[in-house]
Amino acid sequence: MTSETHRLHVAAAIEQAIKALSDVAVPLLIGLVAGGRHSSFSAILFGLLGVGAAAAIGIARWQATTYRVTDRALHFRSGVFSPDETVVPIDRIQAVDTIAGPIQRLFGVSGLQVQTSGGGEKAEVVLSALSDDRARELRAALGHADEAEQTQRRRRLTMGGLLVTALTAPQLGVVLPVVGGLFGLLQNGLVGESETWLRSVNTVHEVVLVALALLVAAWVLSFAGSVVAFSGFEIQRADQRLRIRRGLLQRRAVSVPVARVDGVQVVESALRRPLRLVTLRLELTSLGGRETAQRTLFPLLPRRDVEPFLATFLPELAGSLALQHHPPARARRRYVTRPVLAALVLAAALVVAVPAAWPAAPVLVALAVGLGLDAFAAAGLRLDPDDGRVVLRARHRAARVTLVARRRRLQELGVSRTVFQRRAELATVSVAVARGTRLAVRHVDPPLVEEFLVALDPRGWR
Amino acid sequence: MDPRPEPDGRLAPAARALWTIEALLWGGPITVAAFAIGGALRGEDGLAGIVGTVLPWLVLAVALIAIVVLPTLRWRRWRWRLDDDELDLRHGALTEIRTIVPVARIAHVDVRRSFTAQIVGVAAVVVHTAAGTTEIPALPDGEAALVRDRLAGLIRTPDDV
Repeated sequence: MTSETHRLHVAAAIEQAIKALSDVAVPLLIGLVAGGRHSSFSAILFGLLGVGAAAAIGIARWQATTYRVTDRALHFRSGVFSPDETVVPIDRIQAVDTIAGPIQRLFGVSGLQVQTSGGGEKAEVVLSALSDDRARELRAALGHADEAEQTQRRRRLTMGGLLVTALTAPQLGVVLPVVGGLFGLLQNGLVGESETWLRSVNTVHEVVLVALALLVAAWVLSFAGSVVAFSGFEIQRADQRLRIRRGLLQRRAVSVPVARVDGVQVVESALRRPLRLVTLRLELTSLGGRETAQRTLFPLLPRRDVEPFLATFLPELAGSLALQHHPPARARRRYVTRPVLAALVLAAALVVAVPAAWPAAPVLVALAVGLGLDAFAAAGLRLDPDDGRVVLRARHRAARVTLVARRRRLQELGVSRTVFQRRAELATVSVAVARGTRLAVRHVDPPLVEEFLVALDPRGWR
Repeated sequence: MDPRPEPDGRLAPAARALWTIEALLWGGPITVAAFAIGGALRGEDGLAGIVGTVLPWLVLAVALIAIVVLPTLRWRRWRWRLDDDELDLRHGALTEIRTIVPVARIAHVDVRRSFTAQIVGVAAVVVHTAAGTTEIPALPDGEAALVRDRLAGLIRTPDDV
């Protein structure tokens, strides 16, 4: 085992220099413009000075960043004026991810991110540039060797798949309010003109046009975001690990130990469901905080392929997803009541604000009835006694979500009864899995609650 | 498996005092503010005047319920049970909530004493899992420490998942 101290690849110096340059970009630009007024010579001088300083900072940071691996731990040192040393015990390392941004790819090197179980959102240690040999050596020393073994079990997202993924991206719902906010800001920005502008946007026709424009803008943003995140998505199953690669500008290779997978979510978002397409998400407890894109097991899959896909890549969680238990027929109207009440409130507010919009009221109510019936149809459980898994399905945040989880990995079981449910002898059952994913099946009968509590009983886990 | 026993542990009786104080701390200022706003609006015509008359009394009623009725109701409904395998809670004044946390999933335990809790001599036991936190909000100081120590003894290292 090596114990010598290593530096990162020189590409790290360039990356740091570019970072430093972007930090001083604003003052530099101001200086350039101000200097340019006097003579182009001073502007050039100033620009060179800025680039020189950034290069010096990059080199100094690169010089100060070193790492060394002992039998027990990875020692990482960085910082020019106040060097910090991070020591990560090897047996606490959960994953070593490979990332390669544009600079790394230019030099043919890659970066390693070392994740530990305790760590928060960020990786404990980021080694931004290593040559292939060094990276392999380090991975081996950390016990996370890059299994080069060729496996038949792999699946790639096709170009067509990527296109459909991006077109139906669920981020749409997130982007929309942002664009709306920007639009509002823009309008406020045009102080003098805003009033006349607003007055001109008052016919229903124009409102619809503006809304459509916003929708298209959101769609374009979300489309670009998905293409960047999911380009070249590939999954491989190698022995006890899932290897997931993705990314357009920044290539990421993440390796997830199968033992750490607590469950899988099958998400049928509103846009994908009519196409019978789903997204698969991983439920991981121990791998630090990971954003949604990082938790994607596969971005787009025909619904009928889900069971075979799991059988191939995660046989540990494979099996039937067919539900065995549903809420009773008498619960149907309860599923409808809540969205209808919400729709009535919304419709009332709309009509008070814009009386001309009254035709929207019945449409909203009809939509609410549809959503309620759909939620009722979606809800159910599978509690097979000979199965180490539990399957729950429900509408969750405008999508139909099926959660398959290992019973012994459930973080919490819940049973709740509102005043109304108590009167009707119904209850809501829920489970929490991994980092805060909760799924609830509403309005089920008491015998099913009993079965739920017995099937998932933590007593006897030991 | 034998039927699961109903949770039978109760909270410290001082929990009622704790919740009353906490409700006073937010209910008092809000009620005063509501009467101030109501006084300013009462002279107005139409909707504003009606709101000015009704709002303060509505806020007062809600505050009184939170200060007088809810603490006792909540305390009477709260039950908890801890064995070697699970923490079983049942509570809720309006919505009845049962939560079962497998001991095997608990990452760590805190005992938390807010300023008001210290005044009445109770403590909260907060149990952390990957999915979030669950708490027994008010146990007598000594009992909270006992529950914490018992849980600490039961928690195993996160690696034997």
